[in-house]
Amino acid sequence: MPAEVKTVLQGRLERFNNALQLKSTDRVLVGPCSDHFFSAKLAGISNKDAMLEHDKRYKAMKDVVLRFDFDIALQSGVYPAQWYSILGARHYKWPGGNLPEDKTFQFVEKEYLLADEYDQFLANPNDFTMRVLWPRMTEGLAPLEQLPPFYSIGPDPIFLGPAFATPENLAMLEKLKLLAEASVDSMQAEGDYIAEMEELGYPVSYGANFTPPFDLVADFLRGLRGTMVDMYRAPDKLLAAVDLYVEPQIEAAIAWAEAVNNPRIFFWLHKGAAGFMSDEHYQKFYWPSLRQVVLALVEGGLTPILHVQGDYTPRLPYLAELPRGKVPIHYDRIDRQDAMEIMGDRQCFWGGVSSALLSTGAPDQVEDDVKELIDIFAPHGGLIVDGSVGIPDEARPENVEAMVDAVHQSIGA
Amino acid sequence: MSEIDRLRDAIVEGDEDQAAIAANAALEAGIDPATLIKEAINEPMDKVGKAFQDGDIFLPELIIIGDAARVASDVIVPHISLEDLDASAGGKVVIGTIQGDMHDIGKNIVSAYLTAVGFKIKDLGTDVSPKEFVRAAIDEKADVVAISTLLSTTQPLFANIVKTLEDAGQRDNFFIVVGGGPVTPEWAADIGADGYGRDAGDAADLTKQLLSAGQKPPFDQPLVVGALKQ
Repeated sequence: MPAEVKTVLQGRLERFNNALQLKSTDRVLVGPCSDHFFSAKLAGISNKDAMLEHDKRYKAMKDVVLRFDFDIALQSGVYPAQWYSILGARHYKWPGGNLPEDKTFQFVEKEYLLADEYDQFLANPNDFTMRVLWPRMTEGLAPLEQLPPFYSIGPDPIFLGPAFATPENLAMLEKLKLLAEASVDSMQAEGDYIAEMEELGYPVSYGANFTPPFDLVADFLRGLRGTMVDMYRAPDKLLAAVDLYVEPQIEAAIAWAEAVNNPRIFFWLHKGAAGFMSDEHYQKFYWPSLRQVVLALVEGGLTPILHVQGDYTPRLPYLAELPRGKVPIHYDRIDRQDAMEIMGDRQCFWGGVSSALLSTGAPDQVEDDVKELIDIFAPHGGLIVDGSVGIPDEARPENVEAMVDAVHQSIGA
Repeated sequence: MSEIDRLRDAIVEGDEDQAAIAANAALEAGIDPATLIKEAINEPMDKVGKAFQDGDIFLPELIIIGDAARVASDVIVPHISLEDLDASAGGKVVIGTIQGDMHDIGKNIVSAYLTAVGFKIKDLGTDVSPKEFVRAAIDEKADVVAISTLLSTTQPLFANIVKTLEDAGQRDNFFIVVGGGPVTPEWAADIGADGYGRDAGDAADLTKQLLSAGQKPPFDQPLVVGALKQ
């Protein structure tokens, strides 16, 4: 990397890190955390192709960063279509798979873990995940359902051979091989994108990303309704399931951050927002496991970034407990004055420009909205302007331009 | 404590088992089933709905209370005369997320809320085709068809439901109401819907207003409850 590019990259990275850590910066930043299909739309690529053809997708993302002159390179919020199609995923629908090619990918939430299966799951989560959950979620892993528990195959691993010696199991093993190969390809494409963006002087927004323990259970195991009912009907089992994911998530987050050499780890918080549960339930079911993960990562010198989806205003006092300047918050909907009052001197404010405004508003409305953000948060430092969940797929390009312009104008002011 | 109070308490505490026991006990004590529905279910459920809107209770409470109300209602309804049943029913709503869209959190909240405040709900789930909406509306003898989406690309399918009902000569049998992230009152008007609601409370108000309007569908302009906030 030429010295002048290295200087530009280091300058951007330092400014980004300073903003994330609530240190003073020479100016407000503007940078989307991630992208689903906004970049693909601008490049004229279908959602289907964006999920299938990694080079096209990452080129589109690069073009967006350069076109709008963001301060950071956005990360991809889309997993490769191959991951779903090879496994025959039932728990997702995606463009070009089982959805028309202009649709976005979606998770099919349901009770993959039934209420009366908690004991079985908690007694042996490995076995339940492999032989019950995965066959429910994917067609390709359905043969696992027919296998005996692994320990019962015997302590002698040579008997794995006969255990897998059926046409169905051989086909499944072939699919797993293809999945791993597809992952090598997509991870290589992501690595190439990050390297290219760094060569252009842009640090990428984050590396690893996770779903917090409560949301893992609520999204993938019990579904919204199941989880909500469990808070009353099976609170101890729900908590035990949530706690089960804490330590593995800490270990996985550290390992992933090391593997991609990026300390910034994004967490997508879904179901703890206002309206989903009372403060008492948040305190009991949602917050402790998340807090434990976040503090462990901070302790490990990493930067967990919490994207708080929905209205998170009532939860601000919890976020304020976290170590100052160590846990940037990416906001969806929030009372800005409350956020300033409670979090202004605690953590970086990232995000905040509503998806609806970027998609349906007019540029002058976007500009006014960004100016308000700047007026409120810029004096304390640690402001990174972005859409409320990155740039929405339907954002009007002129509105994204207005968002960037408003930040740049404030720099000149 | 009266039998009505016992049933009301069981429901408000979200205790399905006690709700069934209390409902049976009230019937055995000779209390008029229509009175039970009105005083032990519908009236407290209105308060529960308001508490949810006001942020005094949350989704878990709404769901378990709604479940208990449904259990009690299942016990009581077979004992009600057809005339009284018509008088006590809040109306039947067929609800779902449109084809191509798997998002269901908002739809589920509306579904739970409508159940809690006394409507009969047939929840078709997600990814529901226009034909499935229409078939369910006819089969279930619904009063209202409620369609949800989080994706702006699904708008033509909303219009298909209206058109399919028109083509089948069934449009005047069902109120069509719409809601969801990108849905606006203008969208509702464009597709010829009868109503638009922003959130769960709005959906309940909207449904009540439509069913008590004394006017058959379709409406010239949709009834709009709840403003779109950016």
